Amino acid sequence: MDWRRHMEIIDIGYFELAFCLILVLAAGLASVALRLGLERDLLWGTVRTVAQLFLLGYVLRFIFAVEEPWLVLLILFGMILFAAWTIHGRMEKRPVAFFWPTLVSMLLSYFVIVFFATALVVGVDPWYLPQYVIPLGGMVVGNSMNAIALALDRLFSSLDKGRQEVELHLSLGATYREASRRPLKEAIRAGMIPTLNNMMAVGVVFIPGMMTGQILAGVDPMVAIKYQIMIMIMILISTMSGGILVTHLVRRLCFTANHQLKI
Amino acid sequence: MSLERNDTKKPLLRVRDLSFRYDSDGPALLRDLNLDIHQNDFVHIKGESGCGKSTLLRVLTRLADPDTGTLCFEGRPHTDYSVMEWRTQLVLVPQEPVMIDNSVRDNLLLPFTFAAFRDVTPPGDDRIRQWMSRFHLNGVDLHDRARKLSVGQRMRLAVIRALMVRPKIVLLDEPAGALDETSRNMFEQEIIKLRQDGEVAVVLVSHIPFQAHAERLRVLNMSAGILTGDSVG
Repeated sequence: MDWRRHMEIIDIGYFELAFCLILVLAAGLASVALRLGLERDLLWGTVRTVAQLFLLGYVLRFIFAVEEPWLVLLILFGMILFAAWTIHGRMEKRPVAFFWPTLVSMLLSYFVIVFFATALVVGVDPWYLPQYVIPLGGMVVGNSMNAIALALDRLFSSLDKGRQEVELHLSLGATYREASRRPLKEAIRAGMIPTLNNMMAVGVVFIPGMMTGQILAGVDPMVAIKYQIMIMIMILISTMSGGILVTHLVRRLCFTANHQLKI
Repeated sequence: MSLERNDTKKPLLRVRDLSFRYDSDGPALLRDLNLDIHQNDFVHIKGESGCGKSTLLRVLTRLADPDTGTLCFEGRPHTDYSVMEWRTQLVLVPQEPVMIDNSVRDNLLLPFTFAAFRDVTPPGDDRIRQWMSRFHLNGVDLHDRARKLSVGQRMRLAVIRALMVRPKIVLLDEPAGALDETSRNMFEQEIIKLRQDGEVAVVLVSHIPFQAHAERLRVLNMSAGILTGDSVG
């Protein structure tokens, strides 16, 4: 059997796309009938989805057409900035000012990994080709953002719950690094676990979004899986390097220069 | 009131005009404290809970920085020492005998895993067993999980762990707080013996009086962050 038989991408017409709105209308009717009170949210959600994605479509078209390296770098920077800000907003406890260390850790690890993958693994030429850098960068940032938030959250809660143990170490002559080995390890591990679980389940329990997209676009599944393997490893490494960096930088802020726990 | 003793010998630890508050606009927990601790001293600081006893021990071991005042150890100001060096000379045994989730041996040798003890050979099992038998822990095996032991046993281990570091001063925060009458008495005897051996100066804070008779026990009272009365028994 030839896998290529149905592999031409079929464009969806705008009129046909509008058919989907009938389904939204049906959902709205269900909401009214069952008194779910979701009509406003359904409408607003649909409007935002359409508007945001159309906007993204035009922006991407523009970026792909311009092919300017500074623009690609700026967009990657913008994504990381937004991710760091999201983490900052999402944390319930903010015992120390962790925004800047988070941003620095993410910038360092993501830039290295994204360009390692595009320039060396895929061999994109020129190195900043936006069709590759932006979607791959987006996947790395989006996935490891959660990991960094988890790691930071665990670092703060471990230091707080393990206060007695940390101070015991300090009172016996440990440096702050020696005293916080366990909370640090727990934090890095907590950040890694969802990514590792994903790696165990990928292809068996779920088909990742990027692979689905490539297959729909007519790409050979064997090509799509190679990209998927690469992206999984990119996410793994960015999660780990981002997590290690951010926990080390933020841990320093949790102690005074005199090796006292200050949170 | 001055709590300096008319000893001709220089004190091991000299504390002058020590004040401390947690928040800059909060109440002062320690107010203008003066205290001398000499070699082989045995000081019992009495006071109700919340009077600042534990805070004093935290400041003396530099787990918290004083707002004003000076700490001098062996004639040199605390700023001359690295924090780690200081904390190996003045070791705190906290009120809660915290154990890491490991064996008794790992707990007792914990300090020797730190860089501060890089050049020190950790005590061998025989030496550890000697310490344990001295504190009536003969029934405890070095491989036992420390967290499974009773609070009294853990408190003894915490004291042994502090002493094995060979500090000049050991500071005990309510060591008998969780013990019943009999164990408390036994524990007090062990502390007294420790001092008699002349190895270490002992500073003990508690809200309950010291029951056992100890020679030259200095009793100080603490109330609302102020130290008063220095009687040498």
